[in-house]
Amino acid sequence: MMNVLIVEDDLTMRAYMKISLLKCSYKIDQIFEAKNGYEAMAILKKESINFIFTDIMMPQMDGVELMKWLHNQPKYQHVPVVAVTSECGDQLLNMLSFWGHGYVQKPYSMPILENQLSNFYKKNNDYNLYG
Amino acid sequence: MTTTYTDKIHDIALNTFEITCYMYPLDEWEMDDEDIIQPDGSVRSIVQFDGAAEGAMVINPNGDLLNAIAANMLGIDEANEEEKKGALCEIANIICGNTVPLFSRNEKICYIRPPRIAGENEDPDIVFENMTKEDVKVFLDEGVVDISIYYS
Repeated sequence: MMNVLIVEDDLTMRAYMKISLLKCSYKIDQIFEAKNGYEAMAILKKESINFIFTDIMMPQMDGVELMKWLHNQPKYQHVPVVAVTSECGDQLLNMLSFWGHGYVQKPYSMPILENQLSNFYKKNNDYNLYG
Repeated sequence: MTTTYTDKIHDIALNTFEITCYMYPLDEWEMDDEDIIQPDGSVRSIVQFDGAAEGAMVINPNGDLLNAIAANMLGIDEANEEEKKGALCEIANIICGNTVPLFSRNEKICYIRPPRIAGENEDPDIVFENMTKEDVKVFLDEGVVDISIYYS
């Protein structure tokens, strides 16, 4: 089962990402949407989420705060997170690298998102083979 | 800002519109077309930044382009006002986010602020009057957009 959570404050960008994910070749069972980190936390508590794409700059609770929260929750710290941002400064990249998360720089095309999911599938298959 | 930077902003804008909105640059011979409706400034998005440099980017599309940005991103024929403004702000955010690294120097970086729609009577030339201004015009198959960057 593959459930993806999109955390993005902009309605259009959320829809754009959802359309892009639905076009990709990987089977996604459900796509959940959150407007900020708080909404993402609520969805994570209710649903089984396997993969998160999160914007960084969002009102109320931004992507960095969400990732910090995830990192401190044993239940969720294994969930792969990919930061989606138009601004990729060294500080952000170092932090993402430290936490083992990926990033996608806007503008992105569908193959870029697909590549991130591909990395996730590859890791999962490795676990199935050797785990 | 040098001409090279202006060229880079033009390239960043073309790349953003192509990847995100499936729009393509017009051929050079089409750019003098008198039928092209120029942007009237009725809906503009502003993204301010500070840090290594202080300033703002203003994105001003013509009406056709404003609708096409949202419609193409959402895969619909006609977007509503909220969708048009949201899409324009996101495009402005992407173009500005990819532009500000050009200003980074001596390990200082730029921080961009959330994009917003400019007020009807808001004149960026007055708000940012003490800053250097550069203008870029981008011709696309679905419309025209004026991009201005103010920086100090």
